[in-house]
Amino acid sequence: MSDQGQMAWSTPEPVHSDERTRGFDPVTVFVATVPPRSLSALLPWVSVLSVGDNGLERPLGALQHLKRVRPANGMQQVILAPVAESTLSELELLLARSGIDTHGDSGATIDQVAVSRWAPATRAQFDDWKERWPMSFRLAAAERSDALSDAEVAAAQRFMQLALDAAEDAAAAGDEPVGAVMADPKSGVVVARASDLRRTHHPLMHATMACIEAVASAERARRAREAASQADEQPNAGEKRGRHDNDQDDGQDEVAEPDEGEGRADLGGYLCSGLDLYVTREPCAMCAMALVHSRIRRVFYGERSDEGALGSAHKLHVHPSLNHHYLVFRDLRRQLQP
Amino acid sequence: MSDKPEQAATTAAGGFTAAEQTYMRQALALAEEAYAVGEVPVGCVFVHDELGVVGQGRNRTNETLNGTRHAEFEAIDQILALRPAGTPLADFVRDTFARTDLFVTVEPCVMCASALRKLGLRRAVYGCGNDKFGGCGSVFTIHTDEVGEGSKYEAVGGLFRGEAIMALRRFYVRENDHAPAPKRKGRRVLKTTFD
Ligand SMILES: [Zn+2]
Ligand SMILES: [Zn+2]
Repeated sequence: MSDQGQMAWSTPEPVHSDERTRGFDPVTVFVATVPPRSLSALLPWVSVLSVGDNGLERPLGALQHLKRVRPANGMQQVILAPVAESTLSELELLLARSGIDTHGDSGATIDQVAVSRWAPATRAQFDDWKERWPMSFRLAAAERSDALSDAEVAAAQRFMQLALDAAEDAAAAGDEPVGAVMADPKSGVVVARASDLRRTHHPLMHATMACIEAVASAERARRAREAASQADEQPNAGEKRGRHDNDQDDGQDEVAEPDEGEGRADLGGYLCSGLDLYVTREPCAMCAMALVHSRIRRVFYGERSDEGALGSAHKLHVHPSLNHHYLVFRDLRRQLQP
Repeated sequence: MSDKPEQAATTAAGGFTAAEQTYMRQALALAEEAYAVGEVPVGCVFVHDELGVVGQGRNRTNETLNGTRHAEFEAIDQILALRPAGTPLADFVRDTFARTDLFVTVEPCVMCASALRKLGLRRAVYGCGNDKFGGCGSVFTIHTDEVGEGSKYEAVGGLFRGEAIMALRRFYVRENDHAPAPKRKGRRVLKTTFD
């Protein structure tokens, strides 16, 4: 910490799901090219083709992100069906029923076109893939929120420095050199800080686990105090879940806590909702899942780990089967400047 | 343990020994204890091949306000408390868990599956799978992944699966009935997870 001049923070990088990082993945579809005047006759038949087994219209099956029709050199092009789900002769029959002769001189043809199998998850994917075939795109909420402001980056560096200090404490105590800090991004308050204890105290008390427990134990203590002070006046009152960020104003707004309705079964697990974790090393699967259970908001980590679960071995924070996702930023660390 | 409640969902325990069935019944009783105090009904026992049951636990996430206090973590803390003074922590963990099997009513979640691997557990036996968080085959395969701290272990499911599911289903039906109306739909999703 004394050599500030030579050390500089690296820029934290968001860890995205594979859906957001993948390149163009083609699927081949049959496309009819027809004169504009034939389009209105064709489209009703195309929708008949798209009725699924359950009788519901299924515009393009899994390809709903694609536009159905595009103009091309004075003609209109219509996606008929994926090549894997249809045959050329079937589709020629379909066009014939619409009065379109693909073997005549109307210029009508059926061709195969490679289009994007997936809906775009980012602006860059959209800009790239729509060149193959027009598609629709809704900017995901996640993409908007993972851009960090200068103030957020400065706050992140400050919190990570505290985590680095906790890692130093762990190393000095003969433990794994990992530290973690739980912070409330709204108030800028450090809610909990923990050093790794896996070697000296408990094999599962990684810094992240210790930090989650520190948040919980602080809240248990706060509630115990509150219960003791209220015992005489109001014995009852269906006590609502208190929270770290209500510490100062003594919880007048606790009743309006948005998580309250999520079900009493899991109230305890939601105690970290709205909080950010800063940890010096990429969390393992145990810690990453503990953060899902705790409903963490964002995770910033420094060093990557081969068995890490937030970008290296897994991307647990965006796994589709899990009921809570969180934002992850990695490589937030201080490096020696060359 | 022998006076099992009458239930339609009683499932065959084929392939499992009488001793294994007994341990899983203990785990089910702990799940029942969790249910009685409003915790998600999951219970477990750890069985050492010489010492017998060395740890038992049930969910305690509400009471502790800590979403990581799953049955497994509760029981593991009991086991760690057995460490004799003077025995290094790492030695005790290695020597104990290499001879210990887990009986848990629901497939360990990713967090617990990873924890068991770090400890060097010998084998995990579970009742029903966990389609949302399962770390031993349902969603992730933490127990057999090539990459990961600790050592791989065997995991086998299906012992009193029906009883484990019924406990969860009763719990989520009760939660749903008590939840504010707008939240009920979400609860129903959970209820059918273990179909
Ligand atoms: Zn960890
Ligand atoms: Zn678990």
